[in-house]
Amino acid sequence: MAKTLIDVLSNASNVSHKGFTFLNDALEPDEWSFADLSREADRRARYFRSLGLKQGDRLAMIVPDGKDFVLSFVGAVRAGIVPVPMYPPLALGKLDSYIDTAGRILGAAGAKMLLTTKQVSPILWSLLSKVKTLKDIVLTEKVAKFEDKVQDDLSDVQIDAESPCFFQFTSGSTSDPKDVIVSHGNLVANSRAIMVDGLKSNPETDRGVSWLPLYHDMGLIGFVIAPLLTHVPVVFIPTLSFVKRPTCWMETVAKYKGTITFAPNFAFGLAAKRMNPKRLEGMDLSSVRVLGCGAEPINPNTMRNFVDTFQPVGFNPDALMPCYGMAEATLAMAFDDLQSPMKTVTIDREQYEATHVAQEYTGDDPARALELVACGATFSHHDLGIMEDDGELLPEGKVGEIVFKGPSVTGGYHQNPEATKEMLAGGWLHTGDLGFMLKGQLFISGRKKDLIILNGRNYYPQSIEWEVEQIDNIRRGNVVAFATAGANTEELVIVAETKAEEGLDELAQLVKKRVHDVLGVRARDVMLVGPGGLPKTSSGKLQRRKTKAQYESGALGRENRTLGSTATKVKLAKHFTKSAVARIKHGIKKGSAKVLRA
Amino acid sequence: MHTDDKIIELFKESVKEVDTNTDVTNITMKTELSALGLDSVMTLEVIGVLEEKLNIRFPDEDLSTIKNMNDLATVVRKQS
Repeated sequence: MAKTLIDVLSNASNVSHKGFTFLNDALEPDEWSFADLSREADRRARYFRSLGLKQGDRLAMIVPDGKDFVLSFVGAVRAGIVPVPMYPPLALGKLDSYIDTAGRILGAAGAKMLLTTKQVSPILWSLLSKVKTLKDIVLTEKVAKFEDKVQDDLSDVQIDAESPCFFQFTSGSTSDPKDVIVSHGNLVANSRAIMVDGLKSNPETDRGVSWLPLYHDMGLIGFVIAPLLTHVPVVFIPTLSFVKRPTCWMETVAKYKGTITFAPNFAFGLAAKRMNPKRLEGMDLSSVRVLGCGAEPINPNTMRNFVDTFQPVGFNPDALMPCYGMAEATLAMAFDDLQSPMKTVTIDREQYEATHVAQEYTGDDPARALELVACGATFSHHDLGIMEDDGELLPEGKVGEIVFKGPSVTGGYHQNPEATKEMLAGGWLHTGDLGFMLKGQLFISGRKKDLIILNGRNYYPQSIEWEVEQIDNIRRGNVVAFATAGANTEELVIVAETKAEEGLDELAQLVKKRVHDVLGVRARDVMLVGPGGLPKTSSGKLQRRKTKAQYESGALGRENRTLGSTATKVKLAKHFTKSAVARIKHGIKKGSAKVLRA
Repeated sequence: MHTDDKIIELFKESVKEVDTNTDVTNITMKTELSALGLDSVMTLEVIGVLEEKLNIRFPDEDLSTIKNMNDLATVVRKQS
């Protein structure tokens, strides 16, 4: 039985009748059998070693192309070199903040070299002088041209289950990037949990389809490494192609008779929205036995809408599989039951917030009904619990922090003993997510640290708040960013204090533009309040959750604080009306997640 | 040959298909894409719809050069 990813590659070397299919933007296939892949891994390993990279050295990777990414990743691993996958620059975003963040990530990982493409490289050369450990930037085009004449049988590469395999950068706080050390043992354990335990995959009949970014855990571990372990073939769609043409996801699944595919919640909304009767004609999705949803909060209405759109062409709703996981657990922590309909529970929101108890709510008040999606149970050899602040494990129905244990859990963050200690306190992985168990099912109901997830990507509110504070007329230290439920996904709301009484519309626009330019995110709403409009603790600390609750109930800015002039009051009143109308337009229905009162 | 007006019109249509809430009334050749308030996913969606309408494909590397409608027109004409 394989103990390391190198064992996995070795086991794959005699499988020549199936493997990975990489589609290009025109969806033309490039086939690589597992045997080809294994051979190419050896070749690239020799190339990286010829550059001077040694076992344990970190090789950062900014490689947008799927095939190049996968081949280089396995090549590095084959040599015991530790890849550090990174986000490529956004196609249409501002580059300065990207370079800044990239520099910090490279520094935190102690990267010795950076692998990238000719296309991306021009903007990255400045990193050589910024990052101390970085010795060189390598282009993937050179890797392809390498004449493999070196006598190097790679026999001195000594890897065991404890050896680090790669670093998973956990996005979020751009000022403090953390690298999760994923060991070979972690990877093999989690891959087995996913493929064998969770998916009960059959290497003869299963086929994965994925457009997920490969520098993200769900794409890399879920669709590259785990299938490699059990020899399940996969078809890869370029991420950019999916975003530009969301219909290509289900079209490709139908074309290749894919049985397993996963995506974050927002993609389900996109796929359904862009479908039309013409495209649906002749499509057959009956091959799908698992349609996994994870990486961000799952909206039951988005799921239902997806089912409505695709059931007429054979999609089986039982295939829906909500799941839960995170980088610190390698990837997967809980899967919903296979071949069973999506389960939800509607709990009493007031009771949940006041007493941290989850109790089913059958009443009529939409504001009290909070519908959540079940994420199932965890895998063999692993344990999932709900923990009180004092470390006590809680019974069903009680809300607390979700904690996790087992061979998938990382040994820690690279060179960050404090954060590691906090994360692994008491022998459990502390997820920072809030949830509860009901009837043996895990429900995620919130986040301890107010992390914002947009389009499957994590953002710390502080990163957003800090950017907004830089704008003239915004009161420093008086900005709050949070996510609120939208029609299909969570949406970003920013509330900021200003002394200004005129030009508020323009100021709000400036805030939106800045957040977009620097972080590539869109604020659904920017609300400006007068000085003192944001709720604070007695010691003067901002209260994100209270701000969010007040915003959602329309009470923001009204609580016995000065509102400024009448003009401001009128503007605020107009604002509430606009927001309420917008919410109604979004069609938030009774009983759906977090109905908002105007 | 696509005129400026035609490109703007097709662009507006594309935006509306992706997000009916976005205000497209004041788009000119100087309009910066970022001013429209679309997030990165939506902007790429708009590009995708535009590609279909024009029956062309923008190379990935050209995407990063598009900051305003003028840039977009340049890329469109390059591909046509």
